Amino acid sequence: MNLEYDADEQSLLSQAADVFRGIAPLDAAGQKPSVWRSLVDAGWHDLGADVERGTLAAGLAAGVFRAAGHQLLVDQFTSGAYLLSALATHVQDEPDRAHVAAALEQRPGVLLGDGRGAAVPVVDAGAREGYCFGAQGEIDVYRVVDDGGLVLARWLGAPPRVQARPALSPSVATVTVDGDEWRPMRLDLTAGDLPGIETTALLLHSAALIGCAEELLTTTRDYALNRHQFGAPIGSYQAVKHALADVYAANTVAWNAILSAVAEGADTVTAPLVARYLAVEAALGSARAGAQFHGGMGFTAELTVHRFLKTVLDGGQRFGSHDEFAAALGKEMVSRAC
Amino acid sequence: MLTLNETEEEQRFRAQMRAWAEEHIPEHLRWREDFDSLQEIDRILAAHGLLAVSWPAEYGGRALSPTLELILTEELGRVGVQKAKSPSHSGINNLGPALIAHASPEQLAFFLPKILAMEIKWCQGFSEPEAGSDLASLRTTARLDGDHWVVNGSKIWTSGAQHANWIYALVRTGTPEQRHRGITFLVFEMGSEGITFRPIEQITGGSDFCEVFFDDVLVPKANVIGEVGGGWPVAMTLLASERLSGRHRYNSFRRQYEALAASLAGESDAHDLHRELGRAIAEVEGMAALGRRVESLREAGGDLGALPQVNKLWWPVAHQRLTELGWKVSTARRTDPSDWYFDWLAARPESIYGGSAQIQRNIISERFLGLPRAPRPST
Repeated sequence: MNLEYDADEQSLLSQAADVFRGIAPLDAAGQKPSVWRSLVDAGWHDLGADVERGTLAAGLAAGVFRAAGHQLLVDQFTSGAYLLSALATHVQDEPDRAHVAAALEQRPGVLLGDGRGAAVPVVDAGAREGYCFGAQGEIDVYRVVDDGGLVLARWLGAPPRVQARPALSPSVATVTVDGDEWRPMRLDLTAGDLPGIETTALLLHSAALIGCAEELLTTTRDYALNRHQFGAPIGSYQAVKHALADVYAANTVAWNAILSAVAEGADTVTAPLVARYLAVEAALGSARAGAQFHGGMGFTAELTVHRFLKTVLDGGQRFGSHDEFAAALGKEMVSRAC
Repeated sequence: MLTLNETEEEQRFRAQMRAWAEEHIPEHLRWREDFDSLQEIDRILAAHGLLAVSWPAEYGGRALSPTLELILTEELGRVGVQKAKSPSHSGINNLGPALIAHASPEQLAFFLPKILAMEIKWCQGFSEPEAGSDLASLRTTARLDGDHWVVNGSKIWTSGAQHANWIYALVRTGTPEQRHRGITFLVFEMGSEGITFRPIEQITGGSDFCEVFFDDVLVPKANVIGEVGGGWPVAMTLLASERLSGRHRYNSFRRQYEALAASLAGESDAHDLHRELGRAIAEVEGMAALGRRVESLREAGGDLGALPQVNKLWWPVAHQRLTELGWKVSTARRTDPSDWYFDWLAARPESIYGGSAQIQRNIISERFLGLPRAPRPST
């Protein structure tokens, strides 16, 4: 058993963190414009899959996505980007790696299909519309078709229509394409590989979410140190510090559950369900504490904390409600007990 | 490469231990929690050199790696041996590492063989009626008089005092104002003149712990572990081991959630119950993930950071929620809730002993989040 990154892996994660930290800061609207271009320019757009560095194992990719989460990049990547990155951790050989790299090279991709389901239906030959997170500006559209083997198809037609959802978060949108202008790239994968790919996507996104939750805790801790009431920092009062300790514990447990789930030899059915439930629960806990302990300022758009809150709220429901993952875990254990 | 897979050596060891446990742990001792049964299991383990496997070989251990030790714990757990509840646990897993870190060569030569041979059964004298979470305010005193310390005061929540023949205790040898710097770690025999104890009846009906009274108890001067006035670091070493003890309990918690899952068999449309069960399982499995990480870090010689505190904060709450769910499901199903009722009660002190949840939160928030200590009321 080994759950530690070696020196080379730690170096790469440190490099990733430096790059992500240097990406353009939030603008006045709370957005990070041109992030995708910045990531492409920095050579980190593909996250889980980089041709020069070689395809990353899922465990290391999780560390990269966690670092991205720390810099609030969680929702800069669409559900499709997570799936494509997950796909990249599964393909080993050319030309598949080149195909996936090509799919990731320009802009964040939207993978058509309803990304809200607990099992993400990436095989959906007839899909024309996708509900997605992270669709901002120009995007690429993909779909995966099961044609006896998996085909990754890129949309070449007219620019897709991106309609923002009437939600508080600007990152949620409906994406629609018309016509049938797809460029297929056949992969050496079958539909039987999809559950594993979807699971990897789920775990990579969970890692990004925990990175975001950890950063939110740091932000809240800093606020609690600087905000004084009754002559002392509010972070000195047990009502505040104990709640933040609980958030710290939940984040720590969730990250370690993710490490256990992405590691070789993990139970591929239950471990991802455990990790996903704990990650979303921890992230929501971070959000609640962040909103509460920033006081009135947490309800304004003047501090970046609101971006963390919305990222967690959006992200927590991506790939499906975490309650559904808990129910799936319970049901699986009941069936195993029979 | 992150991996949960075991090396060939680990796989071989697991197979050996599985076969050994099946052969040597009798059916009538499995899943028993009474003192006599647990002691009998300890004797079997001791006879086969499996009691202190992580101790260095020079002290009679087998110097097993953290992973091999965990494998042994898991395989014993499979046949219902809960090492965390065994009479030897306090001496082997808690005091042993503290002695090895702080005791003199003479003390090691005297105590460790006796602990291994189960000649000494320990109880822990830390908490007092007026010193619970605020352990550094303890009032039991030890005054040097010639070649002896004279101990006066009392301890409470002393697990297994009625079975122990030795006690390790924190006593005040300095002034109260010195707080933790005036505390010394003493070891002495429970049969010493001037020691009395009173078992305390628990809400579960048992009496696992006692109140212990010291009335001019004479303790040899040499029975100090570490330095006089330097007992606090010894106690912290000991508590660090104790706070990792959740890993010994996972098998028993897993058995409980599997029993709960089995009770829902045939209810394929019980969505709400499945969700609640899944939440409880996820929390217990989160504890298992923490345990794996601790073992991985120990194996790699890495810094555990806040993991001991997070572990001690997490697993009791996970277990308490699981037992509460079991009790709710059992009563809602109109099945006999006795076992879950008992388990619910029995799980309550888990978030108190070994440093309460509130103490763990203080440590996490102050040491690892860098938040200030709570304002103290002016006196």
